Amino acid sequence: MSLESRLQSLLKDARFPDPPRSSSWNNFRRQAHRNRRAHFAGLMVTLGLVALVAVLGVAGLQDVIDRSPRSDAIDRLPPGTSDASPQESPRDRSASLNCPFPSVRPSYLPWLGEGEAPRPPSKYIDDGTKLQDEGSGYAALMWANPNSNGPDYVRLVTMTEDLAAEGVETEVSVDGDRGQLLPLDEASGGIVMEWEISQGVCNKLSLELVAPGLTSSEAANEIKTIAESLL
Amino acid sequence: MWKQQRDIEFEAFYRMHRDRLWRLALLLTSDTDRADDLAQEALLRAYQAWHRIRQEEPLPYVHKILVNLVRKDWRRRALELLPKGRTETFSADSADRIADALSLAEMLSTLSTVRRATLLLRFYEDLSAEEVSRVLERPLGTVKSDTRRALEQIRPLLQIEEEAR
Repeated sequence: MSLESRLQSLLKDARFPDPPRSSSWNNFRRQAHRNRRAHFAGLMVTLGLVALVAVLGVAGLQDVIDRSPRSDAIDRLPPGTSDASPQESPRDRSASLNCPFPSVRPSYLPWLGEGEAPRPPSKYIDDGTKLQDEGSGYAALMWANPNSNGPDYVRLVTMTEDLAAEGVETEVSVDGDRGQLLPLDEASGGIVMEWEISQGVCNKLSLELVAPGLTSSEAANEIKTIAESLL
Repeated sequence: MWKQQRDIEFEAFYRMHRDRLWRLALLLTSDTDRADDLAQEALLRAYQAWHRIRQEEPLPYVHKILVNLVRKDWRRRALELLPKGRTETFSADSADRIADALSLAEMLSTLSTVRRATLLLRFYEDLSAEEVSRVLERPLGTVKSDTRRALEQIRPLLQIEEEAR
């Protein structure tokens, strides 16, 4: 049995305790309505402050603040605590990795007609401070199939990745490295080809094709054609 | 009128997914109290954003919020792995069940939050790699390599866990 199946069966067979009684819908709704009232009250305070600024002007408001007694709340905090709002840790800042966008672009996309050129891609970037961990970041270019409602796209990503790709080596080279073809994820129709590159702080270029409905060999052929069209 | 409509729609969503979301939170946090708080917070945020997300797929949205909340909470608590709180107040059967679920959660807690979330979304929530890639906002190749790496990392623990059952 594969590792995936073993973990899956452990998770499926696990006995879970019942969620706490406090999780009833009525409790939830009460909490949600309390939150909404608090949100509304906060909004009113903000509007009040805006109105005050409009009436007094910023200088007048500053005058009011300066004349009010200063709070000594910080002095009264228990030892060892601070009221400082959570700060980004030094690690967060050092982990900020700005991958450059891929320097190559595909001239072929599966849904393009004869002689049709790809539209400009959408771009997005994670500098390693969002959900990435272990200091990895990425920059991605994405071409979505305009004729599809579902997930159907080609994405080209530069990223930091310390693990060598473990796929089937192909003939398609980028920066002198032969692409590794990772197996098709049949549930989503996603297939990936990866190259070791040296582009800024990022060491990997990844080409993704997500096209549900393709067989394994069709997906492999399509991604190879896209990879061969990279310029 | 709209508020009533929202409550009707969200109640159906809540009743369908709340318990499973709580179990996912338990597997992500190894802590019944935190699981309760974080699952509740994720659902409250979904409730507030219901007018935006109701036409799309609300569940991936709630998964994303939950994983982000767990990650922030995890950072704040800095590797507080052992369960605390109400365990001793449950009945014997409930305590057994908690021990069972926490034992799995402990095995997964050797992984980073993102890799743990990757495995749980893939093999507990049955999302495809592409869906996980969208929920976690990570490249598909990274999701695949994270899955492989995480499975390798827990391989010895998986063996122990299987033998214990």
